[in-house]
Amino acid sequence: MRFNGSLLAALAALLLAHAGWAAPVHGQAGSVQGRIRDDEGAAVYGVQLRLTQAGSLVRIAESDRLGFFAMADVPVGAYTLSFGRIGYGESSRAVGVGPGEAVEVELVLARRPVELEGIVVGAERSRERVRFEETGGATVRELRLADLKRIPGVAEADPLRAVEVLPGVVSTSDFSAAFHVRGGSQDQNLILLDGVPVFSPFHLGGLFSVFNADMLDRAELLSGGFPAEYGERVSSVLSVESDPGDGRFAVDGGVSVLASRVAVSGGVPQGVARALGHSNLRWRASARRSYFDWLLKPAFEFPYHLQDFQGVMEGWTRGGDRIRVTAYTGDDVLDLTRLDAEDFPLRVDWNWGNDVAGIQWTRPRRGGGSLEARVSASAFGTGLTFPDFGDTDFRSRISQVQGRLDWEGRPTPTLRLRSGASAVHLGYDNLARSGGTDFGRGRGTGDLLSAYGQAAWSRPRAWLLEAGIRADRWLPDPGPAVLHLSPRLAAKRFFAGGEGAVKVAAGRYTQYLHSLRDEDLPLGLDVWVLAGERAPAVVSDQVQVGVEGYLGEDWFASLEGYVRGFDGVVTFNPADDPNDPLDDILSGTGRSWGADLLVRRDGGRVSGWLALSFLKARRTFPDMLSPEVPVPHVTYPPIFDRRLDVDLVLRYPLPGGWEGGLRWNVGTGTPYTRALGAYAAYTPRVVDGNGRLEWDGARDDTDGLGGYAVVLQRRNASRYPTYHRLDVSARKTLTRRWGTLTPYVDVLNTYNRRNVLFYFFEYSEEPPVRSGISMFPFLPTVGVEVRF
Amino acid sequence: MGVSSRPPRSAAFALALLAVGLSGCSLEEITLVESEDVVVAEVYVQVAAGGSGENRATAWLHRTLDGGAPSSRPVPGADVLVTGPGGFSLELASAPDEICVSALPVQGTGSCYATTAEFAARIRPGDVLHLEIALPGGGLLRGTSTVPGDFRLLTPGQPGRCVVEPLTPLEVRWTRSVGAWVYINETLVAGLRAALTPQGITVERDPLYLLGLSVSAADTTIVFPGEFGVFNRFELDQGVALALQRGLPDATSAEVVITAADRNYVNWVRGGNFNPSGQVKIPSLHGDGTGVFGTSVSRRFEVVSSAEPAPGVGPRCDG
Repeated sequence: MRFNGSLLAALAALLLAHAGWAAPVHGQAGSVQGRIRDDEGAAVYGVQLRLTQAGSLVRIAESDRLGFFAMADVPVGAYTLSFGRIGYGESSRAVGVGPGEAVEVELVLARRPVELEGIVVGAERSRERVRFEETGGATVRELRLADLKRIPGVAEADPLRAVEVLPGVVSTSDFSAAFHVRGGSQDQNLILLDGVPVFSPFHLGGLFSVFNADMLDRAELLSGGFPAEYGERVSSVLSVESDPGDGRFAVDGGVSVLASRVAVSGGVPQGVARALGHSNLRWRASARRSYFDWLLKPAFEFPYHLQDFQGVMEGWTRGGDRIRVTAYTGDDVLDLTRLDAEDFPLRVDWNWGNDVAGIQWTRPRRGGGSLEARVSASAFGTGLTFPDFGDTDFRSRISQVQGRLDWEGRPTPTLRLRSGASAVHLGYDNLARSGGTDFGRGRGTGDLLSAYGQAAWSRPRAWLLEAGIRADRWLPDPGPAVLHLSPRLAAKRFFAGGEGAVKVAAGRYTQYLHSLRDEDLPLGLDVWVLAGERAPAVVSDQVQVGVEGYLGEDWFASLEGYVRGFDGVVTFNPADDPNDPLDDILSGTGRSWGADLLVRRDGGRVSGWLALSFLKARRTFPDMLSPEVPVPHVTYPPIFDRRLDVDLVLRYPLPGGWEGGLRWNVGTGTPYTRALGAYAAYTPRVVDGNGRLEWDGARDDTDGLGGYAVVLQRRNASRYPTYHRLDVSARKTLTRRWGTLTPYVDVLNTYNRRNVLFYFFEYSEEPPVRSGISMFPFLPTVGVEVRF
Repeated sequence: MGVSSRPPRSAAFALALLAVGLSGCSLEEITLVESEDVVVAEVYVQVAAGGSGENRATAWLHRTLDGGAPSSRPVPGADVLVTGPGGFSLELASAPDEICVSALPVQGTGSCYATTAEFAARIRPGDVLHLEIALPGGGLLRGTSTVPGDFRLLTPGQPGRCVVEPLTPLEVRWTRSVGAWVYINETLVAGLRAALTPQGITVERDPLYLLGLSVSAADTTIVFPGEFGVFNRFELDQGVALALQRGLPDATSAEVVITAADRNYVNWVRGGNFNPSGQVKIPSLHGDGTGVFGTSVSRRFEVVSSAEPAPGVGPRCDG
């Protein structure tokens, strides 16, 4: 796809047409900005700041990770600045703003272990409001911990599962937490844990994510229009942030049907922290393990378990610098080596998991800017071994090491500049070897050198303009080096006194790695390859336009339309030539367009949102199933082409102090390729058949199903029936002297809808039948969380 | 052939089915009323594949299953013509089923066409062959194949029978066959029951068929018998599989065939994308139906395992 000039002109006209709705300009206005810290000198982020005059709200802001906040375009006058946050209580001070004056304040917020519901709701509102006012082109949707815990889940709260309820996000199977955003493939989502990429953030082949909700502060999905600082993936960015706690000792634990988990947080004693050059040093660490193998051991050997460990530490120096260290390691182990040979004759040991570590140093600058340096490493690997057969080796590994520097400055209250550079070294190694033969082999490395610059100019509640450019130099080995320049532009025009806005964003996005995971399979592992001589880089041009705004204090609505093109998407070549080491991956193109509607209510007894997503996606590849020469191309809807997807998510009070959650999801059927007929499958046998054909079913022990091949219709030309599912949850927090106890119940698929996972067309039956398997049936799960 | 997900993919699918099976998610069966009627032609030209090393050219024509019965209608009366370099042509005539197939679901569910060994002998490794099938009642299927290049065995160095030390792996080597996509390595091991039962190893099948692969024209070695049976390891008794890792037991013998196969042959046999309803074949015939026109070149030898010198049996395989 290339940008269409007439489309951009139309968008510009749309923006200008709304110029008359802009709020009046305050020529004599000033500004209020500053930094907020706790009584130990650590920055406090997420503080809601309200500037009021005679009881009327004038401006609202939220402190960022460095405790900085800014309120621009404040009329001359005397005000009260109120600020508060969960765990810190509230405070206020008087502020006077003169004509053109930039008032700078340093605020201190004392820690107080009291949670105030008013602060919770207000903070949520203010954060969304600040994002609405300060974010130009990006579509940002936040999932808060409270949302996560009340969205009914599979066994326990799961950030990746929860992302599915956001507009523009499609999931194709109950059995996978993998998701697709606005027509992008699942490997086109950049998933970050405290800024460090996690290559394959799944346990149990995709059934659960690796993220432990007890470690989570918040998860944020950028589903489009993201600015130049983001590279490496083309479809979305999911940023998961850990919570290092407030320095007080606390324990969170939980038991679900999946696993048991514990997270412990605390602070390093002041004396030790000072000796290390810090005024404050806080940490949180967690461990999680599934326990089916232990639980079932008296009865039989359950061969699978998962485990993960995560830790985060955050320290603040006396000069205000922040140092943050994040680490994660997790494994899935499928050990079939200890089973009885009669139950499972082949001894197999299969492991997979991620390792992630990162360190981040941030120096705040006066006026809200910062300088940040990051070093991180991330790796994913899987290995399948057969202890009895040394000639067999299946493995797939990818790793990266990254160094990154970001600078942000605010030369004026209305201008924000950001630039940075990064260097990433990636490597992968895939091997499928057995019986002395390499059935598949690929390895390589690559260096990605990137730099970006972006500027954001705003006239509060009138205009917000963003422009940026990103340069990526990709140096693969083996493969030719490439250079991509990726412009990013966005504009937002406010109307109705700043309560509404129209916005447009356009940009180019690039990606230099692919996962060859077969998306037709509900469970599976990622097999990563780097762009180079085997696979191209992905280049995606995207345009999105939308309107959003507040309808009263509680209601927010957003409607966005988008068009995306993808050059360089890949898939396996099922007809690859074994004599050509470079043809095992097919390169193709993709295109998607659609619209996302979000209506959200914050506050009130019943809160939640309705997300409605319309999507039309296409992929085009050489049709290797065709006998024609030259090979023709086939264009088809990929399996994530769910044309219409509706999510209703509600939080509401239940009798007896219980909190209720509900999710109802309706989606039109996803595409599949139907078998139109079947025929007996034969294989020539020379050694004892002199080349005659033998019916495959004659030596198939499975019931003859393997003895037939199928004639297929055009790829993905059929669709499964409409998907719908109602999930509910209930949880109650019981306060005890020692802490809190929260039992919960999740019920998935309450009315037991048989949503189709697969159809089997069995033409060898008399009469022929269509059978199949469904996704989750009615599935209640229970669990309990403790905190002290 | 670089990165392949096939073994992990099938394992992942098995894992998915396991998960699904645990949760009891079967859907109600619905009777189907329609089945597409498609002619399937499986045409193979095999150089030196016959028991005496003769060439074969056969066509097995069948159809998609007829309305659900586990059978299909035959395709009699077709004209099957193979043409080669210099304009020579072979017309495959109607022949008994057992010329084409050794095992089929139900008798009479296909039609066999073949040519005599003398005619087939005109085909040489490296030939470019064209196939045309005129279907009865109209319809045409066409395809082209290049016979893989000639190759010869290096170890064992002579055709016929040779002897190996018991429990001693033999590295079989051969020269490169130009244009081959894979070498399909088959063996039929006889005498295992008598050799392994005294060790407490149950042998259900004797003789035992094992399949190995050497992928690409350049992969011209395989260790016998350990690297045969890669695709049989899930179904094979592990005692037998492990015993064969060490070599042929004493007093057993095996027939071994190395077959260089062309593109069409490989694509049809290995299958395409995953589909839960059955195998997906990659055809090499286009027109009014589907199917394969595959070509191959085979080399055959026999191995006898003997601890004692066996005069007259044959030379040492690695000699």
